[in-house]
Amino acid sequence: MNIPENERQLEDLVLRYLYDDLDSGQRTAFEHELTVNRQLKKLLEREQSLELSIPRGTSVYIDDERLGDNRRQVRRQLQRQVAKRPLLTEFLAALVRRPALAVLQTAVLAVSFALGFVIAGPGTSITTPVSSGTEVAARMSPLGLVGEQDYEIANLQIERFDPASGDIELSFALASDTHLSGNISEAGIRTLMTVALVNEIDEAARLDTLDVLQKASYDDQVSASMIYVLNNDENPGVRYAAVRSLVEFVEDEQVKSALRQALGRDVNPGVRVEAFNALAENPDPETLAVFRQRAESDGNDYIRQQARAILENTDPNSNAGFSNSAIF
Amino acid sequence: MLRESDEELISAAQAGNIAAFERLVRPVERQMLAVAAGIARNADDADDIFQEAMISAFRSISRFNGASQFSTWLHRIVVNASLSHRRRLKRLWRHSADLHEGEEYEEQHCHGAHTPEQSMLSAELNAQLNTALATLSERERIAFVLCHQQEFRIREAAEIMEASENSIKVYLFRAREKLRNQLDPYYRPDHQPNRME
Repeated sequence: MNIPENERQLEDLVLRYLYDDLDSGQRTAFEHELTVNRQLKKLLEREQSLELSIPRGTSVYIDDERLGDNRRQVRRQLQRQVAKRPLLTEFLAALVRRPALAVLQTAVLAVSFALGFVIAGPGTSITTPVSSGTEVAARMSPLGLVGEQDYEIANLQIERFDPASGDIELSFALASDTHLSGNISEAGIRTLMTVALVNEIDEAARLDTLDVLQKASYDDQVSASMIYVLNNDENPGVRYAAVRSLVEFVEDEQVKSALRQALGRDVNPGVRVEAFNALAENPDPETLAVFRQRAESDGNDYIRQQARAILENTDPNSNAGFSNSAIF
Repeated sequence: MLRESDEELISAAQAGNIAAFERLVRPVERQMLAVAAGIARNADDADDIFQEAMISAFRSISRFNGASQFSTWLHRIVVNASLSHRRRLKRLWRHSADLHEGEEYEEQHCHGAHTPEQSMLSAELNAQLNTALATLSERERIAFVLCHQQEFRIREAAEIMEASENSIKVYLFRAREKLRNQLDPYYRPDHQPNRME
């Protein structure tokens, strides 16, 4: 390495040395030059003096709480954006097509209006015993389980206001810390928990909720919420728990369809393997079509090979043209 | 369960999958927030910049083509969000001259961030560093944050800032000179810096 004589160029070299911009040969040459070049040594010592007070790597401290708050804010905004896409709309439309799910439908609509069942501070805690199924049935939304006087408005935002017409659009969260006691067989509690599966931000809470619902008797409401979780939950662990619950009901056409969708779309191989194994028990033509696609492109060896084996058993000529390409 | 590759996650995020996007950014999100906090004037601005950058990254990930590393691409978005935020504030200042009065950098700095050995700067040095950082120009500050605080190499900072390596070295040199002058009392031999563990 040629060592320049010009001071400006020497300063440039010192910066490159301090910020790891020299290769090993250049570093060795630079360090050798330091032993004989007083000007270079002086420049380096001057620059290194800054490191005494603020060593390289000294940066703003970000604590876990601050990071978590930011993460939640980002997630809310992303979910709001994605909610404008057809995904949630399709889910709601599907509920409308299924009259048996009127309870969940009402609850989800209520939640989409309220923008979440947000837990507020401990000062607002109340206890609402759920005494009878009839009483709960009259209040189908989980918001109905909270006393009206206990609502708190949080995060109010005026999204649009037209001073001429007076038209206004608001968004806000309803907050209340509420304790419920009752039985899992009661519709109110089941509704609350199925909506929480869709809406609760805390991943551990969603897993706990899934676990309890799995133990409850299976019905359309539980099935619909688990299918929604399988298709939409951001956490692979929660989706995995959902698929493990749903595989027991693979004979249900809605469940089978959701499993096919998960096999075709989920980025998590664990979820896809569970869905695949359940569907492989008794594959219908629609399922075989998905198997054919996964036999070609699944990133998971097990799924590719098992799908090929099933397709070969179904139609010995079906493996013709399989390539080794994998998407996920 | 197997861990998805970045390629799979990018592909899923490009299809609108929030969870995949979150998993992609998780390894660098603390660093991104620290970059935003290093550049911004206060903690609230830093949080806003970080959030704007994340939303912007999600919106534009379909255009990510792998020409640069994903983390480099993300940091470029944070830097651009910082610059946009700053421009918005400047427009506000024109209408409200008082807004920047009394505005202070107030972040807490530490060395060896988020490791068991990390040490917080003393309150005195931290305040002095914040004051010194406030004297840097926008680009000097960004170059310093990237190279000195986040330990990017000069060429990586040049890629993130979309500037030449020579420009980065000029920004760095000026930044260091200003900081040296401001922090001079803290590295004199007779000064005993007080670090909190």
